[in-house]
Amino acid sequence: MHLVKNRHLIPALVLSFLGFIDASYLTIVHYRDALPNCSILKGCDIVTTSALSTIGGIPIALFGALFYLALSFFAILIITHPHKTWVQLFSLTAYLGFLVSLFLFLLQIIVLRAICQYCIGSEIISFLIYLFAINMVRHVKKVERQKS
Amino acid sequence: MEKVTKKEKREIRKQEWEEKVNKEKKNNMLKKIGIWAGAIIVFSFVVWGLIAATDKPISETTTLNNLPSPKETDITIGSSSAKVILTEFADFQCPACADNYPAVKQVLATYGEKILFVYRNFPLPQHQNAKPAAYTGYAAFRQGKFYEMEDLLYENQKVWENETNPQAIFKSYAEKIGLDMRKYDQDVASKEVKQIIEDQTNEAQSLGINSTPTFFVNNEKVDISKGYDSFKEAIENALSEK
Repeated sequence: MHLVKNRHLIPALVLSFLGFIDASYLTIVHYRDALPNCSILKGCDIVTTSALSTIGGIPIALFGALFYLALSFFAILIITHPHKTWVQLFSLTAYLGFLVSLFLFLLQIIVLRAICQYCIGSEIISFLIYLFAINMVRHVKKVERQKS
Repeated sequence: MEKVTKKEKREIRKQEWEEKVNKEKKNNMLKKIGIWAGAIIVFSFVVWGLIAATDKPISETTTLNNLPSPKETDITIGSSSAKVILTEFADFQCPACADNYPAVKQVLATYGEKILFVYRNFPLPQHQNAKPAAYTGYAAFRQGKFYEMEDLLYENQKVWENETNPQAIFKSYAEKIGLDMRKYDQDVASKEVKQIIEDQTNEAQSLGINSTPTFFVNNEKVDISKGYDSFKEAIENALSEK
């Protein structure tokens, strides 16, 4: 029995990749002194450019991009070197990311009262990755139980 | 014909099996390297693609026919009757604006009254102190000292960009260039000034300007990649047209 099921890992990897594209876009736009393309929802420029969008001058989007890069890295490690540690690292990162996303989502709704499609997209992605991570961990536990 | 003994047969089979295992190991290794190399290429490609895609922030058109002519509330330097108008959309906190400032200074020194320089504020919201800086610039403009204030704001951008309370620093600049401090305090806090900056920002956005600094000589966008020479070329062309 494989340590991790492909139907958990592959979607998680694809989602991490999509999240990386999303967050990188916002990061690059920030550093270019430009405004993101906000044609779908009004208010996305409010979110992506508010004073709350940076921590000590570093855009939150950059942290997001690094988060998704780390997730992708661990997911690929699970493929090439299947080991429990990588699954644990992946899921730990995913849990933390989900909590941060939830916080950022509430911040948008309650404090900024504006929604940005790139940010909501990222929050949905991190939620889905979180679900896949839960399943991965469950499966690893099952495999271990069978071994012992 | 030589007869192969049982022992030899076993040896051969063992060898074949070992070869097979080794080959599989090698294939596995290659596969892993392939996966990592592929991943690195794909991720780098994404970053490169995004950088390239956002490289040309303004729409393909380089002519803006609906660029409004300078209003009374606009910050201007030079002769209002000049036929060549150099418009800048800028943000005091934008690093590229500060980098480009020496070239603008040189243009003003060279062309003086031959042109009208219009400074339109476009404080980008991701710059926390851009708005107060814009108010300060505007307050100085009201006392005829915009140029002096612009100097201080751009040259000291690094000093105030991350300050949580930049007003004190801006005030010291106002004192330094000898502004009437009572009027300065009134202006930076006035609703009117805030509204003017707000209007300029909205105007820039509605024109489709989406990065700073953006320059126009009359209605033509200036490609500023060559620094002062870019401006010189554009202005000379515009001057010779008339």
